[in-house]
Amino acid sequence: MQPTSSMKEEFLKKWQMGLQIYRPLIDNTSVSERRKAIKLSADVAMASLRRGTTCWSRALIQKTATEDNFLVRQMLSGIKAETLMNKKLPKVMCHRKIVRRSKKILMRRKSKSVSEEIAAKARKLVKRKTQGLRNVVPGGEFMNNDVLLIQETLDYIVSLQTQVNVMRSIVDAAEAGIER
Amino acid sequence: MDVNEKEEFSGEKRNTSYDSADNHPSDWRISGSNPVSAPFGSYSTENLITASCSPSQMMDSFGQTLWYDPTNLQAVGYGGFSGGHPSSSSSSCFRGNMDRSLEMGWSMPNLLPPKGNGLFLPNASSFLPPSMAQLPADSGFIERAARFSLFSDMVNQPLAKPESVGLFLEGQCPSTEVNVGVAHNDASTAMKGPNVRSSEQASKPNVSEDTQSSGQKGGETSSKGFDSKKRKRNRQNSEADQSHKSEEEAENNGDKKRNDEQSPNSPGNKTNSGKQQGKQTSDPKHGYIHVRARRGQATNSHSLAERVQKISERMKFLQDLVPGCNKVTGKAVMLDEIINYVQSLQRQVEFLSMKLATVNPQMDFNLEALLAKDVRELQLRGGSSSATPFPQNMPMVYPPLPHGFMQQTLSSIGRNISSPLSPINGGYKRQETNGWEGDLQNVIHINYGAGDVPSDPAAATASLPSSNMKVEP
Repeated sequence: MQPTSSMKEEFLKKWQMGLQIYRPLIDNTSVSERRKAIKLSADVAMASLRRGTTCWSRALIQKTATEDNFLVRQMLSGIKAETLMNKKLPKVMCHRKIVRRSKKILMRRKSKSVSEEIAAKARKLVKRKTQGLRNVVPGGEFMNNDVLLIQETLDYIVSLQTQVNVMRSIVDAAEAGIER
Repeated sequence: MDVNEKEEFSGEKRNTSYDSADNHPSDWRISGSNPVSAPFGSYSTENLITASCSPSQMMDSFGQTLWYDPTNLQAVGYGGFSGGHPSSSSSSCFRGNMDRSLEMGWSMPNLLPPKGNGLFLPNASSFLPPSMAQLPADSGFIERAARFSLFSDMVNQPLAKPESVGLFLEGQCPSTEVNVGVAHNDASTAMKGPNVRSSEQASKPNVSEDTQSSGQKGGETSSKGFDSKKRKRNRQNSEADQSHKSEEEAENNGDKKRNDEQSPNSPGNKTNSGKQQGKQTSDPKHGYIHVRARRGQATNSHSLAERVQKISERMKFLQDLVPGCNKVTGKAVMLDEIINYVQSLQRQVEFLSMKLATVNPQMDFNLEALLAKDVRELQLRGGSSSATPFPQNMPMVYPPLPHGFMQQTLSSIGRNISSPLSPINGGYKRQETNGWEGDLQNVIHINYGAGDVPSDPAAATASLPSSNMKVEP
């Protein structure tokens, strides 16, 4: 599924709305501040497209809420998803070290053949990669279900593509404007 | 007032034996405030019980087992009651019926939560007719009872704050461990309760519908009257079934998610899964072994295969999305590609926002004006350019904004924008091939040179706006 034009339009509108909030504070002269403002409003716009149905969108909203609560509140004021903001990010409750240790102990007892070991290593590799994916996708740490993780990744990728496309168009348009 | 009593009671009990996370008390309290059906004159009995010493001891044990249950749950309604150990206490303080029921209920060492139930109910029934059959048929009570009995799994598994993951995962995350009635909101759905247990007394007619029926939403709150012996077997089956069904549900949910914004069933699952994080295998200390599947996994080979199938389905979608994934096979490599792609997309967003910040100091993203310029330029140039291929270092697919979109914005402007044509293509290519860093440098260069544009043709060409190319439909 590629980003559709309707998605892009919606994202653009929401993003504009977010940027409007920063307009009065135009004297945040530093580039990095502006960049941060742009990025945050873009992230929230992207996440709000999903209206709280996906895990990553909620995680993203909460993450940006920690950085700029006001912005998030303003941007989501029209949506019921505003309530998402009030929820704290859950801590990862899985004590991974303990789990790993216990697993190691369990594994030690087994004696394996070569093929088994290879399979086990492959599985370990896959697990490591999925862990890496969890680190990348917002809110991934809370998706212990692999199926869900991949589903969220799919959605996240599509949204990211939308975001990048729109931003790129704006940048190009802005540059074109300047050039004239 | 009953609630208050209960809360107080819970509070003090909590202090005594609770060893789990601190936040539980609040949760218990909160859940304690859930309205329990009237027939529970039990609350008043709690006070009575606290008065006596021997019951209190039992109370403690009950409370302990109850509190092992990490999750918020309404079951807390029973919390005040603080279910107990079968072995200890009991009989002396309770009257005949209750004693009998309690003993029977507690003959199995692992009947923790249900004991709570059993204790509770008989307790209530001490004021009411003691038979279980007389338990109030209130559906809310049933649900709570069932949910409450689910906690047995969680004994010795202190977990995190209930509000933690649950809230976060509310929307979507299905969990295989549906059984635990974590879903406060969704009593019925949480009740997929195969895990409902009860004391032996099980004079209850509707005994073990629970376990097999599990996965159905809001369905089968069979609640009372269960055979403890069946519990073990049923539990394992139910877990497998549940994981299976919850997978399906999850999938269905996931599919629906794109379209709907409602996920009524998932909240229960989510909160449940949230709490169950890191939960591992069986606890041999208990009489029965229930192999709790790790979250997101299944113990049953059947559901395992289903899971794998679902994963591979999704991976196929991902293959279409992520460019360059068609040739690779194998999960690890594909996952690697996916990770790289997501990271590159995120980096692009960062870069583009940086670029925007520099390009447009006023942050005046008057999109319509900007796009209008684009459109005009495009029209003027007659769509000549655009053929430039994307640079290799941009892995993502980049479909340009459709014309219709721009026309729309253009029409809304009504503003006449005249823009000098500038030769673009060559400059653009040069710009692009420099890579990201080069691009940024050009951008900055452009910014400085903005004032001189008309007089500086070189800058104009260098700063090739690539918009023309991009806006091609």
